[in-house]
Amino acid sequence: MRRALASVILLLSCVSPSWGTSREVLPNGLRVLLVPSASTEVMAATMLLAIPVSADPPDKLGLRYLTHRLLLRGTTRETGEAMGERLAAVGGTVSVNCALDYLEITVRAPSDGLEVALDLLAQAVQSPAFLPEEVEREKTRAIAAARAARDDPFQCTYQALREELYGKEAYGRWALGEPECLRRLTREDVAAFYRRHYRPEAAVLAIAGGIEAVSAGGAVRLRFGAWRGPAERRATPARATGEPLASSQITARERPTARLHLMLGFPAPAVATQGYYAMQVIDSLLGGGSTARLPKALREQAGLAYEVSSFYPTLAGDSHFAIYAVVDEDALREAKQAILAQLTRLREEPVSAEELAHAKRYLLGVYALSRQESRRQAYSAAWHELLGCPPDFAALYQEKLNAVTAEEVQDTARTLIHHFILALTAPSV
Amino acid sequence: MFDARTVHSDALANGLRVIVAEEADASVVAAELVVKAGVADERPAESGAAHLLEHALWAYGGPGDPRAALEEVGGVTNAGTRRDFTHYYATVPAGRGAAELAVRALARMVLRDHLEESVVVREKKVVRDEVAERSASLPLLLDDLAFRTVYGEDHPYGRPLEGEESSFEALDATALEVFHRTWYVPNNMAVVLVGRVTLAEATAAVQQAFGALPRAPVPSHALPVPPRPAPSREVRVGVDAKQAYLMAAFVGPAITEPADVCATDALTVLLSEATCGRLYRRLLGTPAVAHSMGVDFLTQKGRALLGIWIACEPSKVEAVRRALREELSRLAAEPVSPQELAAVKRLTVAAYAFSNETPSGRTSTLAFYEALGNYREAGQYPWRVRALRAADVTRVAAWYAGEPTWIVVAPQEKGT
Repeated sequence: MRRALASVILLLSCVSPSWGTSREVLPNGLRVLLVPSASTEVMAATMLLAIPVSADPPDKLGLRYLTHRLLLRGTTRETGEAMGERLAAVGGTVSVNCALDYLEITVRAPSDGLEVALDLLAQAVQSPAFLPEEVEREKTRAIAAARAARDDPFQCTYQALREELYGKEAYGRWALGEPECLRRLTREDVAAFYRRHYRPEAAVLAIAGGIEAVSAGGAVRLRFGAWRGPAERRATPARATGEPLASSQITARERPTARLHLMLGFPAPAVATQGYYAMQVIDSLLGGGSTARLPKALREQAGLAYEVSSFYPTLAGDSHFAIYAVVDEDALREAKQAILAQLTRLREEPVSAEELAHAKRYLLGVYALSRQESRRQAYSAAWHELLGCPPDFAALYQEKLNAVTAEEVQDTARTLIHHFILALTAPSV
Repeated sequence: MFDARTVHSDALANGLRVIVAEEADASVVAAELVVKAGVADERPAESGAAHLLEHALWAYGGPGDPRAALEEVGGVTNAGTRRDFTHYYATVPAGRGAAELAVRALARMVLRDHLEESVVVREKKVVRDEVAERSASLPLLLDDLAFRTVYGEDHPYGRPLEGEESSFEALDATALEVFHRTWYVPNNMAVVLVGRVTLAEATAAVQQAFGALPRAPVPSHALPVPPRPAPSREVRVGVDAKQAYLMAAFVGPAITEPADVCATDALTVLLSEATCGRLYRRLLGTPAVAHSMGVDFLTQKGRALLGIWIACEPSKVEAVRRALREELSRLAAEPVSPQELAAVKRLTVAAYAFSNETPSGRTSTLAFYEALGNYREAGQYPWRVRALRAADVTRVAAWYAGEPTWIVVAPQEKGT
């Protein structure tokens, strides 16, 4: 089979203003976004539910993950197998994802499979059966997935960093939960969690690709209009907060890895708040592309790192900035010094106009072109809606980013870059 | 996906092929330079040269780094080495001069008369690190062992992508320059562009960047043809892990057997698709025998490897093997029902549509087929899948119904 040979992030120098997105709020509170495109013959429907990692009770970490997995394992109308066969008959696929801020379910299909895709999605979120044998089976698989995440050096290092930044709550938790807690969960736990958290006003449904907006809107209203959550109104979940660091710390985990994985991070602003856009520029200056400062310094000039990158995740709560590198164990000190030298340079030296413009163009390119696929468009529309970003956020992002000055970059670096957490995963610590 | 009316080709006087999908509404131009030489074209003494050369050229760095020219306008670039070819690619925003910029950058990347030894030394270290990471990743280790075991060390597909350690360590700038002079010649390369660009614009840009290169003889060598089905073998590796990974590996069809490629693709969907796959349900249904499974099958010039991998508890390895053998035997003995065949065909065509939704996806596909034969096959693929009959699936299933080559990577037993 002809498979994707490599993942390519697509770029564009100007951000297209949300592809003619239409927005509707159904009477039950479900927010619906339609992003039609004439240039594709496939579609994607993504539902994000604002059920964050903090929704898990402390003694039931992983309940939200298990509950969400079970949506695809049968409803009160048909078995999971029958659901799968109906979707397969139109060439569709379905996946679920469990992130720190939300739960996701996405269906992709050729455009003429829209109705079947929506039908499956509607059934899954409105009438899951939670059959006892399915609960037991999914528990086994959820435990295996939670264990596998702990064996992944990147995930393991990132978890260590988040635990130091946020403590054991919220973003300091494993998104997939704890294997020991998962083992104890019951069908009653799952059903109670579902009844409490799955509600239309907590959800956003975005459909993108080769769809016709009017008929897609009608199909959504038909299938989701009668969805009712519990009468009890739930308070908006508290957003995670990251306290400024009082001192720098090192935390280390032992795993059978070939190289040392290091992550150096510190708290950073939430989306669209003061300093967010300047921090985006800092991320681009340091790790945006193969010729940014970190790959140049650590990989090309010093030959220290096999892999080096930076990331600044968009989160509903306070975010963080992190630099990730894979190095030889004996190169830790040198790699750390090289990274710190780049951070110090940001604080002490204004970025040139040329480099600033380069960093912005790179960011805008990544922003727009990573949203070319219909599934990325659906996800992006739903995520921005969930974050409370305005409908024209793409244009706002471009405007605000272009307005960032060299002085702001340096001020932001001076404000945010002080203490840090250094998280390590190595064969021996 | 691929509208034959918009895909055109041309060739420079020196033999370099230009393939363009004109998409006036696209917001990007995606470009790929494909060199029709990869790991399988290395002589044993230069094992590792194709991949190391790709590293050295793409990440050469220094003043005038072509990657910076692409990233400067908000573009991205990467490169990769396969058994049959090597490719360098970029995507840039559409606009005046975009195609020219992308083509010029790719040309500057690959057209070097001389390689600095220091760059080669640096990239050798990066490759060593890649090898170490691959060895630590059990699914990748499984894949490497499967190729080595099924094809054997004498077959070019049996060599590791990064090279045999002894020959890799001996590689230097001079050796890479020899490989470069041999294979990076215009009549062994193609440039593919998809997006807001015309054939005339693309050809002019390619002519300017590559037109001065002289045509040169390209060595030819025939790939050995492994028997199908291959003799069964078993390789066991003990590792520090909690679960076992195993792969059943088979010899599948080559690009020259397109109907069999499509039938094998359909068979992989029949087995492994999460919504309806027979083996998937049997292994991951109730009661679950395995944690996860998947199929690797990438079409190649020669007969390609079909690998079915499963992760399970060590105690379930035998049950998994039995289930896999039984499902494959059933596929070889009983034709699939019309309903099941129709669903599998829809899923296979849909997967192709998903991977070709964007200009860079379409560029990658056109370049892939051009590297293995002719880009026109990209447009034929969905039609070939739609034409499949139940008997086609049964026919290829017979290749896979015997005892496969087993690769088992499992937790070390105590005392060993």
